[in-house]
Amino acid sequence: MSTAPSVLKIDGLTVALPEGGDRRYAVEAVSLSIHAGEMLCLVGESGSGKSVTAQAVIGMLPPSLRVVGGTLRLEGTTLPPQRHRAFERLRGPRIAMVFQDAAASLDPVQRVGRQIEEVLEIHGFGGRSARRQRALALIGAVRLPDPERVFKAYPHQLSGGQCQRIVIAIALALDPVLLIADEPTTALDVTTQAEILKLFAELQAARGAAALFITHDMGVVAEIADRVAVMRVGRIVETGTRDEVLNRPQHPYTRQLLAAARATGDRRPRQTSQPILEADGVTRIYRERSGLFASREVHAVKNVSLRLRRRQTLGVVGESGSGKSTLARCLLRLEPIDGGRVLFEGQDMTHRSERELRALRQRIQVVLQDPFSALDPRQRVGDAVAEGLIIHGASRSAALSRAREFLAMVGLSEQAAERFPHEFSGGQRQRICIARALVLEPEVLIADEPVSSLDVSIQAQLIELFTELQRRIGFAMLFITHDLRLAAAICDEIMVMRGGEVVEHGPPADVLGNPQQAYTQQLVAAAPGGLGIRDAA
Amino acid sequence: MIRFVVLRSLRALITMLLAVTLVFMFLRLSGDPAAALAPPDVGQEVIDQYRAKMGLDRPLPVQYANYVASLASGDFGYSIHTGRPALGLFLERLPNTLVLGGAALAIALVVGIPIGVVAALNRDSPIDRGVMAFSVFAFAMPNFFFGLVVILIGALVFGIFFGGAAGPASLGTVLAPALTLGLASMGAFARFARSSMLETLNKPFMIAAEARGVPRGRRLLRHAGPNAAIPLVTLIGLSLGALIAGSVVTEQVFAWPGVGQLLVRSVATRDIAVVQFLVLAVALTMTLTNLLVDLLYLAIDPRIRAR
Repeated sequence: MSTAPSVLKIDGLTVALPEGGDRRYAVEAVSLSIHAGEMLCLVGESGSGKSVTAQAVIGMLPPSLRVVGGTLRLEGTTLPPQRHRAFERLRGPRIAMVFQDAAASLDPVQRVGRQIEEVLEIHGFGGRSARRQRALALIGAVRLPDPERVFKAYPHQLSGGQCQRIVIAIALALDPVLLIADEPTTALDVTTQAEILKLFAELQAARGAAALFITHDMGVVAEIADRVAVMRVGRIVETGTRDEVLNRPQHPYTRQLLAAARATGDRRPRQTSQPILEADGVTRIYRERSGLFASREVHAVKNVSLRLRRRQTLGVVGESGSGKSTLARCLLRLEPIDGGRVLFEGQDMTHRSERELRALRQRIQVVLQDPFSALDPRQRVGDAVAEGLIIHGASRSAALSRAREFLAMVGLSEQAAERFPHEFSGGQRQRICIARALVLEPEVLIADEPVSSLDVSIQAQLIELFTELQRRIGFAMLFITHDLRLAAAICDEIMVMRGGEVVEHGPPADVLGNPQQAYTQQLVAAAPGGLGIRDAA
Repeated sequence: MIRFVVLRSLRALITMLLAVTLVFMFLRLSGDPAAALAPPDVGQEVIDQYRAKMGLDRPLPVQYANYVASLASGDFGYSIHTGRPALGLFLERLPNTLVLGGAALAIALVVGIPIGVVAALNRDSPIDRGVMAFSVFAFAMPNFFFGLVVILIGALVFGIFFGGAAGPASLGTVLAPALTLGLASMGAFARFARSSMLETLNKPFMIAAEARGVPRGRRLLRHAGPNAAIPLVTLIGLSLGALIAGSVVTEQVFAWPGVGQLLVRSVATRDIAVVQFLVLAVALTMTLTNLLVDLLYLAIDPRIRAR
């Protein structure tokens, strides 16, 4: 392999950020090369410069970013300058790109078949019927059933995974020598992710293309990489074969990424205590209008029972649409309950009025997934945290000083209270949300995907924070996530949900180490790079 | 898709029924038409005679039923001044208004949308700022005032008098009133085309198309254009209302012998049957154009077709 010429060779690429940014270079002295048939994974978190590197390769750097040094060569030939028209002849036939959000990267008002044909047409492939044949063959090659029908479909008629298959088909249409994939499976469910990864790797290997695969997930790396380059704040900190990097990481940052991906389920079981929050056959039905007068019932949550004990963490795991968030809203009584009961300290809360619930609200708090929309952009952080205390009867000055205390506890500075949410990063905002929830000293904290929108290393810090605060304050936590690894890392008990129902329930080692239900087995198998739970079991 | 068409048509029908009912109610609410018609110094028995002749002495539900029945049978009433059928008066004037409205819409579309798109493609450049300044001016300018300015400039600078278009409409005579009528819509179209285009240009599928080597011209024409047009269609449908309302004023300013002028005269002379018919005609136009816009959606947005 080492004698084969490089398809892509990047030498000392340096890209300058606009003046006044938080650092001078988006990408600094990056060198890497990829051979034909080889898959190089570029790993790092958002802002590390991996996407900028990819944009530079395909000649689509935004005008605000300037290449100030280094060379880019495709099969020995220097690439044109950024945004040069000559790139139009390279994009498609020589370099193809697959984006993160497949559904959004297809034109919503054009049939997908036409979009495959378009690439063939603009690059002068065959005649009309030859293009159609080729498009149908490509749809078959990405293993979509019934190519004739898929050809005529619009993007909204396909699932996210199916759209990503179409995007891959478009990328492969002209047999490019270099494939770039920028987080192509991040937006997908775990099971779909596994299928798409496998498909991508197979097609790339079969066609002998070089691939630059960008991801933040070491699990994905373990699954598909031949070689790995780890990026951090614009620099490559480590390169090597997959085995070298995964098994003998040299750089501390690589180890950190690996640790985050390998979180294991070795939690000591805690002593049983009194249940504080219980659900007994909770059911929530949505009515969907399906005609002028007719409606259809959808069971968002179906007969779910759970018992959350004091100081315990219960994980609710499932893919999007499995009903986990609806369950959380039912438990918070933010959503009407169509069947079953919710009990707090043994008392039935199912039919309490909003007034009666007010005192309870203080004792059950929630942290939501998106820290950007969960904070009022025009409210100072200190006021946001203090608001709950004031509502529940504290004086303004007492509430504010308590808010500062809790902001410090979640690792933010004293001055944070005076600032506005937009001045903080995603991870910091989630800390603010946590402070806002915990300042009321709740007995139950419901965390709905609290870290899924954050980078891996930030995730790890926040998980540590949750665990630490739980030890100090002693709340019980319902932790909702789609990420099995995460659930295994912090939960005492795990509940797996699918289609609104609980399909499996037990300690993490049992649920993940020895899944009983086919669906859980599928989830465990699909998690990229295996679960790391193997090490623990 | 068939359901969509049926539902929208049903909705249009209901809207028309409501309009018919409202017109009936408002004309009864605004005082006794018989008393308004009769000369001021006649006695009560003359007024009663008028009432009996017009059917106003019967109970309201009966009046309503008769009114709907006569509408359904195509009897739209007669002008009390000339005794001619309201429909005939309307049809006589309709071609002039269609020419004026059509020309105004055409000018608004042909100028407004391209300058909006050009502004979007040159975002934050002097061109962009110029277009935006113009569109604010166009949108904010009241047409009765702009019309007078046009007449004034035409007369003083070019020595052409725009203000008295007698006889059949021609390209030369329609230009000034059409520009006056279409100006506000032109500004609205320009602003909206710009923002819709800007939004579309930043969509991931536009970036993906660039990454596939689709040339810029084709990206704009085949991908950005159709997607940006979807919200514009709604605006065009809505702006027809503004055009109809504006035509009443513009026809007055330019002495344009159209339906708007007829409406103003009929209101001034309390020609109830004609007013009633014209209001219904306007309501029907609005309802039908909005139905048309809904159906146009079907053609351009597959996501609606799926419903």
